[in-house]
Amino acid sequence: MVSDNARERIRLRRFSRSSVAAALLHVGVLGCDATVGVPPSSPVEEPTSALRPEATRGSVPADARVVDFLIDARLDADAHEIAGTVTMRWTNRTQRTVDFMPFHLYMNAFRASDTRWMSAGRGSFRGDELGEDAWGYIDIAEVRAMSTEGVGDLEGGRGPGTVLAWSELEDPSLMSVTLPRPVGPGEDITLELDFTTKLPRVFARTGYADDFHFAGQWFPKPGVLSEEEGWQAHEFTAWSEFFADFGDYEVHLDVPEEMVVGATGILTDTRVEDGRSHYTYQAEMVHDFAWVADPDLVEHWGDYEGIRIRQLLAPEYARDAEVHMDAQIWTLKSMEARFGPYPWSTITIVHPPAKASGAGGMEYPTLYTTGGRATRPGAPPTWLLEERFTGIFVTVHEFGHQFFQGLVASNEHDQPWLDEGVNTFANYLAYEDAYGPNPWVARIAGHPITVRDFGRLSNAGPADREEVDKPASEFGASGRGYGATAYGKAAAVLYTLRAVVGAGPFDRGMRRYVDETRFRHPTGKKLEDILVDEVGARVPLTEGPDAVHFDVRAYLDQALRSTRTVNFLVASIKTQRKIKKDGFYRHEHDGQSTLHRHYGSAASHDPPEGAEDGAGDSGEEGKSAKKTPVSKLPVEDVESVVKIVRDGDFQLPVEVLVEFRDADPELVIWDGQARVTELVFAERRVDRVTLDPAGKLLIERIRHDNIRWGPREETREDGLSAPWGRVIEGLATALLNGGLL
Amino acid sequence: MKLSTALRRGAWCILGVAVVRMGLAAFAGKLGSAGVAVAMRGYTRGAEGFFPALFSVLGESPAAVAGIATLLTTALILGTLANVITVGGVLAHLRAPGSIGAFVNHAIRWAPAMLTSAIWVSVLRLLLAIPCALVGAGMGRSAGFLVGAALWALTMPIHDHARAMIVDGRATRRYGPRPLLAALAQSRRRLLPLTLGAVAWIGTIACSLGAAAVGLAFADHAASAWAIRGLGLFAVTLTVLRISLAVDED
Repeated sequence: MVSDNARERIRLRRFSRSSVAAALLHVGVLGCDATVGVPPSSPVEEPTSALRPEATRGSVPADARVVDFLIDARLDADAHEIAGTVTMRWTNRTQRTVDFMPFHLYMNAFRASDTRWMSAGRGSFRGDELGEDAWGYIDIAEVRAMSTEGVGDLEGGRGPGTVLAWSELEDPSLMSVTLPRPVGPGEDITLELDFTTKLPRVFARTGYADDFHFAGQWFPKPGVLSEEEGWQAHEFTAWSEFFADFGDYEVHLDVPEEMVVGATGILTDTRVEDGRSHYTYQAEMVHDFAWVADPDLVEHWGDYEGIRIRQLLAPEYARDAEVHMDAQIWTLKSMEARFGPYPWSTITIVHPPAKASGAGGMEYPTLYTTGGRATRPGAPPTWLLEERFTGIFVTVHEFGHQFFQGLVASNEHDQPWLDEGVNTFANYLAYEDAYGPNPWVARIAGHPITVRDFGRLSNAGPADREEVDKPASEFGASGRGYGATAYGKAAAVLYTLRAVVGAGPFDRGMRRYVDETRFRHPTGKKLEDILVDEVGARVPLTEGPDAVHFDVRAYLDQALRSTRTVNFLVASIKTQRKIKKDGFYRHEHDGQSTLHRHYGSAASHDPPEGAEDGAGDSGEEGKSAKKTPVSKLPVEDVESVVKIVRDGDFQLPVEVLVEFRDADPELVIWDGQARVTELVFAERRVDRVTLDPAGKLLIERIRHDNIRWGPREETREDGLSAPWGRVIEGLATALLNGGLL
Repeated sequence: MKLSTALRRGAWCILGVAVVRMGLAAFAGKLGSAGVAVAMRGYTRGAEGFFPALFSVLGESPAAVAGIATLLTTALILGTLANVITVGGVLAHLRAPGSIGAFVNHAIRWAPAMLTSAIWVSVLRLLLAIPCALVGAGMGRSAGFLVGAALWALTMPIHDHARAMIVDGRATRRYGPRPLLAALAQSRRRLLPLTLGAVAWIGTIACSLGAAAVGLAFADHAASAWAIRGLGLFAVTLTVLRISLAVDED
């Protein structure tokens, strides 16, 4: 009897032998036993164009194409080295004239212990340590100028050329090349660089682990020339990611025959010679090129409206393939619906082996690495723990980057919130699109933790000390502040804004932002300006002459460029006697001014029954009123006072839901400008006050002080301490009875 | 010893130990609850989930988190120590029921030997961890874990037997490893009590984990506290019955 897995393996082998197309489908995977456990799927034919048809993807602005690459690369899998030549034609799309060109040599961050990158984190990143003698580097052998005039074909640039002077800058992750002549507006130049990249043992997104090789940021990449600020090139530090111009790539990879390869773009040619496989990849309008080679990767296929989706999974994660594929497809649907079409024709998902987990969770154009184990045999039973997070969220998040940074190519170093935060926010919406409003991402023994809860938890304590809108290099080396701020806080800022101003105008703004910045390098200001333009600078939250407005600019300023925190609390609720006209009041009548006695009612000048009409006599009603406790007074004689405190420095309006014992509830909006406000409700007894009842303020993390009961004779449960006591009692019972000895 | 005899003789032990443990657990629950109640004074949880609300409170009170961690660690240490210390009294009581005073006397008298015996069985388990690790390396972590749990379960009745020999006076060197080695050597002849003892211990663990799970899953239901206590009582009953299996042989 042949098992399903074995049958699948046999089927794949047959496919590899019989189909010409299979030659383009990375034959290396088919001969190994690693397919065990991978769910069945049919290979999808490689698209013929790296971009989807224009009718589907929309137009690509011609001037966005700045730099084209032709790269030859040969992998020495034993030495873990890539020897290559990159020929690049760069066009000056600005009005500036330049006489030098900076290059990012990202791999040099791992060259020695005193690089900016290594010294900041003391050689560790996300809990991983760069192993002993596991250095990585990129060694530039020669830089040549091939042409100072435009050439139609990059191949034509190959040749002896003119050798150029170059030098590494203070940190070896940057170098500067002196150009043979100034390159003015509209001119282009073709440079050729010979390089050798030594991959580090997998660390900080890239490198090798045994036969697994992931090449990310592996070739010299020029900086971005900005009209306003000149060359933009940054030293590679722990939390700074990447920034580059768009262009087309043709990459020839030469790898050991047994390697399964995946890369940015489409595979256009493959051949095997002398025990080596030669692959040609082409990518259009991307700003980076990454690839993976490993003999053990197993494939899983899918497609979505003409987009070829190919997963390359380490065998130990093969059973997760369908989980990732599902997440990929619902995220793609959500993001296309919200942010416009995905322009490329391929998506490649790499799930690195556990030994190379440091390569997981990173995005590159049309290719990303995921991580985590989505399904596991020894997982807790679902009644104890059910979750839609492990593994899945990484896939959702890394694919999300295809839009927010892959397509809308903001500067990840200067404004990391613009890709990480906006993308995380988009991930929350993708979850809601897939599972419904505010769905759970985990259920612990039936207790849900929803997307909003997750959003609040992600905006963790360290974010209180960091501004959102600042360069990655200004965050601490530990990464706690960076993660909580650039991801969690920034996402919470956007989610809150959307909830307050309304999904309609906000979503229009986000769509416009993406439409206007596809294949561009937008700044945060661009996003802010569009949002303000779409939702309005001051959004009225109430009507009338004293209407409360939500000042969007002020909100964004505080949220992005200050460390102000949001925390409102219900300080007190009290019921007190209503002030009545009781005592002596001066009256003008016929030109005479005299004192008249009032008896506790604005309407009556008459003493209540049994009271004497005389000065100094407060009357029976007054006496009895003072003796009657407030709780026994008729509702007409009382008023409730709700004191609300803005405990955080962040000024923004907040909704206040006031529930009464003897009247319908009322939703009040306080503008939140002052530190404290008192809301008075005449002739009503407040039962309960809830701040932000709809949970709009995702940016407010501390919420246990948002709901308070009004004064009542009976005691009220707080709803948390007793359940928590039962949890502790259960745990203590388990520990006391464990009987381990 | 018949089950009915063990239950009759052990009833007071079961009730006594269970009541003490329930009291300690309930006290821990009250302490944990009080910490949160202080932070929640005047406030109430709305429609928010249990854990998000709890995180909001505990996120602002690192001291409360430390307090809870200390509380639970103390419960683990107390529980383990109490097991070790009282087992001498339980064994003596099962063999020849006496007064509470006699129980306490036996417990105190045999406590040092019970403590050293616990150390020896810990050494044995450390040695058994080697084959578990080998199985884990060869067949996967799950297999290693299962083998480890089975071996741990089997060492419980062997350890009970060793302790019974000490209390019974048949072990000459009560502080050394010999009683444990003797019990180990005799285990082939005691397959039934060995198996039943292991199953009883697994039952105890299941009840204990069940108590934690009930507390977690039904935190919002006041009645869950009684389910927790019921499971605690059942766990103690199983423990005493397991120990009685060792007495039975003597």
